[in-house]
Amino acid sequence: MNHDTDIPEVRHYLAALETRLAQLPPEQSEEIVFGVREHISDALSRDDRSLAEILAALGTPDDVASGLADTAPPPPLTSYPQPAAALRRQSSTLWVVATAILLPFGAFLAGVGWLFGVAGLWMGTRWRTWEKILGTLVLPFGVVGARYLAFLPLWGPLGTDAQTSNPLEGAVFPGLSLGGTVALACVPLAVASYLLIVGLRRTPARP
Amino acid sequence: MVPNDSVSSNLRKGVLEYCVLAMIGGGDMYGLDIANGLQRRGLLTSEGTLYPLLARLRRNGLVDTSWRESLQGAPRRYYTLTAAGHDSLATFASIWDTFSASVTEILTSTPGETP
Repeated sequence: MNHDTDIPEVRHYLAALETRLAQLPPEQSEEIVFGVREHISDALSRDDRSLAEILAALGTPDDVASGLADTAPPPPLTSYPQPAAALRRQSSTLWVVATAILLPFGAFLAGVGWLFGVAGLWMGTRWRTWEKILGTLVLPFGVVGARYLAFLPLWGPLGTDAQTSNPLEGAVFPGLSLGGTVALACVPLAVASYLLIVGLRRTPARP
Repeated sequence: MVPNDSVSSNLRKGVLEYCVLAMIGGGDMYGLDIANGLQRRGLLTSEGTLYPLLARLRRNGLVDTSWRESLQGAPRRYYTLTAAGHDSLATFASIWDTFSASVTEILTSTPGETP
């Protein structure tokens, strides 16, 4: 299905739409973008219309985003007390920053700070599911995990006879050069930086 | 003089979600089919605006989605009316009957006559 939507014009359209929907929680914008992508793919495979006609009938990304205003309930008056959900959302910039720090460096905090970072990542509302998986798995325990990965050999297939062979033979990471070690340590930093940037970019507009 | 576009746009906004519920209530549908049906009836100016609406209906529990194989082979996401969706549609239908009858009666009444 998605092969049709790999066409540059479609990718450009969907990227522009995603930008217009950036103020929404990721789950909501993903659902809308997914629906539009599926619409294009179905129309390309079923209709006689050209891609240009299909995109024209969809309307511009601004038109699609305007559908939010047409269908959403009226916003609350600003003089009313802010609901708890809104307060939580406003304070989540700190949440984003703390999560982005705890993921790479949290393991230095009694070894458990990284777990708090993972919890913050999964409880946060500004990251997509694949980004949460990325932040959790690359690399577990952040910089500390990268350090252990670089210096502790991981053993090959079971059955390696450690007594009769060099223990470093068969290791997946038989030892990295200094450059490789530094590069490995940069991976969790790069992932944390990415999560920080996208998390802050998705800051909801203030009323 | 109120422009025609403004009148029809305002009316559409008020009834569009119930038209979508009614279409889905007539049989499970997928996005493109719903969009085409609304477009054909002049209820949707930009097909893309359907998707924020569908997302909201699903969030509010009025419709549900499921994946099914299509004739073309690729699985599609079908929309189904939930029990809450049926209730909401039934409420709208009863209000609409009274509302549209009243408006029609006023519009067709003789000038000066008290409807």
